[in-house]
Amino acid sequence: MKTGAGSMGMLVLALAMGAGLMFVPAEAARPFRTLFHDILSPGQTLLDAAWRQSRAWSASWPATTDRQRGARDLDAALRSARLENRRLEVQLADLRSRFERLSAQQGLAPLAASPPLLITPKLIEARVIGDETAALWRGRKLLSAGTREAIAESALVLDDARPLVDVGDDGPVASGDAVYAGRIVIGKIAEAGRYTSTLRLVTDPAYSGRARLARRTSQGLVFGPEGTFVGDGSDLCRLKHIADPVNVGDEVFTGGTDGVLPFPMYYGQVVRAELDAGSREWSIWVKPAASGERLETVVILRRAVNPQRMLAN
Amino acid sequence: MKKFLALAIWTYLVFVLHSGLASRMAIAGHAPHFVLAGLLLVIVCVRDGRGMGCAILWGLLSDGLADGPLGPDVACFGVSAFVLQRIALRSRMRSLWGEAAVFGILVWTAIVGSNSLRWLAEGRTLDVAALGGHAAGSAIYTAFVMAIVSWAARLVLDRPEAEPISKTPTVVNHWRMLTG
Repeated sequence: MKTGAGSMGMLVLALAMGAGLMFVPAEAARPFRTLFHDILSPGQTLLDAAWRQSRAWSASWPATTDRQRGARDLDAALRSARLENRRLEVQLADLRSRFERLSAQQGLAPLAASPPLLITPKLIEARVIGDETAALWRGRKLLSAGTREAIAESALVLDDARPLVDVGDDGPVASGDAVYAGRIVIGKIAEAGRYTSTLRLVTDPAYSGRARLARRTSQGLVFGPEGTFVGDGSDLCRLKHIADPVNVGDEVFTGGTDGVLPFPMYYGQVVRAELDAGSREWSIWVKPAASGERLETVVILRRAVNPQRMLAN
Repeated sequence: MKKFLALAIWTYLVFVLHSGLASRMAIAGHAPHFVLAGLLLVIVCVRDGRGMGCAILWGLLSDGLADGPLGPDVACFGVSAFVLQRIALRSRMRSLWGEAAVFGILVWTAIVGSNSLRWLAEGRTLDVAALGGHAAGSAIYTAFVMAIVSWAARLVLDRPEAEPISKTPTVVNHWRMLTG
């Protein structure tokens, strides 16, 4: 009974306190709230660290779903295929030079030695800067602004929202240089800064390039007409100025081969093709192969005048 | 002194969990109310004026975590603790699911009560249906968490869920003549 009376008294106290505290101004309650948050802060930091750690463990747990494992395997296979591609390109170049040397030794070279190539390709590897670092870079927080050794970067690059690569004039790269991931066309350099450059992806409305249709047949890949590949800001790109019949599933490669690269690069696959009544040209939608790529490194094609040719004159 | 220290640690732990973990554990926008869960567990163990005192203190701290005026949680936690003490004294709450149901109803009442008071104090329009629905989700979630904790505690302490009431031994008041 005594306990019951005590509890009843405490209930009355609780209600009275509750009612009284509701009239306390918010300003007066602020120091109490701040103090309480400060007291909880170490525990919350500890809990946050434990939560992050547990999530990291669960992500690296071996018993992940088959789908995740499959995706990881495919990613690894893609990486190794790209590395293998690059290795084969180097090997091809080496074999070509050896063949030319042997031909010359055996007297098979043309009588009048052709001059060295005027335009030579140069592939520059660049890393795509991640979102967080890009935000810091654009926010000029990595540039040591105001110090004696201040790093200056082009405002055109910093104020642009497009993806960044870590090569600029120092690379050197220039606006309009083609950007690839393996043999897939990623886009072009939009603006080249001093140390970084922005990428104009193939899906960008301002992107345009020459492209060629190709169809897989029993005789292999057969190349067809050339058109203009343009981005329209959506996930799909458009292929314009094609008057010949097109099928869904046809492949799209770079066109206008000028001999700089030994093979055409890949844009993507036709996913929709329509011929409007009265129109001569097809309306073609292409799903770019680059859209599913999580870019880490890219290769920038730089065309340069061969210095040997300059020296020869 | 040991009990006071244990209660202080429990208070800190519960408030850290509530402020740091509850929102991360939300399912469809309904988060468990760790403060009320922790308080009701304390009230089950401390069934006198000290339990009510704890409810008032925790109410004040919980008001400190929320926006708006101080006081609603002090009153509502006090009422919930008082009702739980009455129920616990009468029924002894031996069934796990019975406990969970009582906890769920008390949590729902406390959430609806404190939020209603807070909204009214701020001059906002009270949407009882939306508030009740949201509070129901949190109350069910909290009751479920408490049932799991209670079940685990019973396993650890080896206390059966529904202990059968043993029959009172029959006392036979018969004298037997031993001699003659």
